[in-house]
Amino acid sequence: MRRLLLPVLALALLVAGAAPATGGTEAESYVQVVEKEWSLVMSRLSVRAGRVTIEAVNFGTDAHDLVVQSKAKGSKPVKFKQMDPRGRTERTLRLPAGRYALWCSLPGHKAKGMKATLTVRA
Amino acid sequence: MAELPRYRGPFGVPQAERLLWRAGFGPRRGEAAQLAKLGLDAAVLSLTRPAGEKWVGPTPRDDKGRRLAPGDAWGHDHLWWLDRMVRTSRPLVERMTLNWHDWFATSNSGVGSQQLMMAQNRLLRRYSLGSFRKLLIAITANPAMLLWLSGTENTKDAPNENYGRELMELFTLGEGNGYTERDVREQARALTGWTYRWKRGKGATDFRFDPKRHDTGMKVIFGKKGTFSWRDSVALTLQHPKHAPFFVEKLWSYFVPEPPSASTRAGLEALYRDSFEVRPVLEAILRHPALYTGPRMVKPPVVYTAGLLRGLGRGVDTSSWVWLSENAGQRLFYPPNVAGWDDERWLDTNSFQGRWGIANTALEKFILGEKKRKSVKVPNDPEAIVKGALALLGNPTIRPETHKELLSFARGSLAGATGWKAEAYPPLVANAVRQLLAVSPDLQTC
Repeated sequence: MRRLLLPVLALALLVAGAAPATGGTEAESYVQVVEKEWSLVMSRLSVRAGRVTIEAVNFGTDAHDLVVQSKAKGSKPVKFKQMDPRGRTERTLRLPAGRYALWCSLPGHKAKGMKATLTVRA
Repeated sequence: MAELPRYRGPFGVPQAERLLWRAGFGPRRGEAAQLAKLGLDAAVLSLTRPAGEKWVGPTPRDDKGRRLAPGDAWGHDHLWWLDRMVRTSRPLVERMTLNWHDWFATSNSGVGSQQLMMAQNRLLRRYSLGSFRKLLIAITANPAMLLWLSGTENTKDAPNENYGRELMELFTLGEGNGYTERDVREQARALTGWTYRWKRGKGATDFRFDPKRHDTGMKVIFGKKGTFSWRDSVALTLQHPKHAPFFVEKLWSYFVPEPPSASTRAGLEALYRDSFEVRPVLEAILRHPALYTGPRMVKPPVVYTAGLLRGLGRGVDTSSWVWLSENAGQRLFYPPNVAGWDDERWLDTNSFQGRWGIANTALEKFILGEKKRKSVKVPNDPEAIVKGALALLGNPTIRPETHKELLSFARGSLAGATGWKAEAYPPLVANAVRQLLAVSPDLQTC
């Protein structure tokens, strides 16, 4: 049962818009998200679909985290671990084309402006 | 005006090595000998008027084998630039870019955008050997600088003196040298008008000069009256009589550790004063006897690192260089403050530990490990071991006393190595001698 769950989960995430990318020689895109009070600034606004390494870097004085979610219906969010000031974290995801919302999920941070949209091009 | 002094001693491998270290990142194997054959003048011109760029060596990768994304991945900015230092065929261009990065020290800790820092880096390279006037105009309007030194917060209703002060104190005249606090305030007024648009997700963008935000009133700067704007601000500091002496002394200090004599300073000022061209001043400095006969200088950490890699023939293939360089006191794109790096701190107990780590990491690909110890025969011969270490590191010129110390260490370590030790010890001693050579004073300085 467990063996069946993993491929089903991967398929579900793919459908939802984001999947952890496994290793390979496929070309990889990168985008860095600089977080500080109260903004998310991305190194680029769009990337090519496929393996995308998203790196969050905390340039602020508060703790922050990052959530990435496709704007497609039924998608599930991918949460990055929380970072202290000067901390960073990254994840490599397989992103199909579409628009993705990014935000800091700590209380009140998104409302104050810590949000952005990443476009993934076909 | 008397001609500037020119070095007239022998221009052999030791002199060519020093030139390549001071005006670049050290020689690759055989490069010092090739340069020495050109003679001093042609050697200097090969650096100041280089041919087109040719990258020598493997494409850089990070720890995970990924290509570098200097605008998008933490640490890749440092690795990207280190790679340029390692693979460039135009070392003086790259070294002057590094010098300008220190001169107009801008830290990404205050800018928050690797993309903007990369754009500034390209600007510094574009003007590396050219016009200081054009460089100063461009850096005044550069987005990373505008964010770093509050240029976009400087408005006619609320002047901010940050850039106006550093323009004079650090970039063109020297602290308290020929200007007053009133000049600082008036410069700030002249520099008003810069702004940007904030776009969600992209941050500060569309940097521009907005005449509506500029203070158009009468200003008095250095006793001169006018409705000065930012270009006038730059022009006035360049025309200031204290600028040329400041410029030549500061540029000289990147290449020679002791200040120039009064006559040398006067000669360099004469070369620079009316044109603001950097190249003629550089050529005079690189031909000056003080560079070849004076005391040694400590290599900045990234110069030391790039030089080790060039000498070893190794490329950038690990992300470790980022934190190793930080430990040694020099993380590119993050100078400690607007005054740049303090080169009197290059060698203290903390930073030396960083340099030890740099040497260790550079040599780790060549270490005679367990498998290699069995397949590579290292003779039980102290002289051969020291010779081998020198060859690995590109045969750098070292002092006789350093050679003697390395030999003494090898002899002492191999003494009594009989039986199974006769085969086991030599590779271990060879590894140790390589590390000791790499961290010796001879290789930490040039």
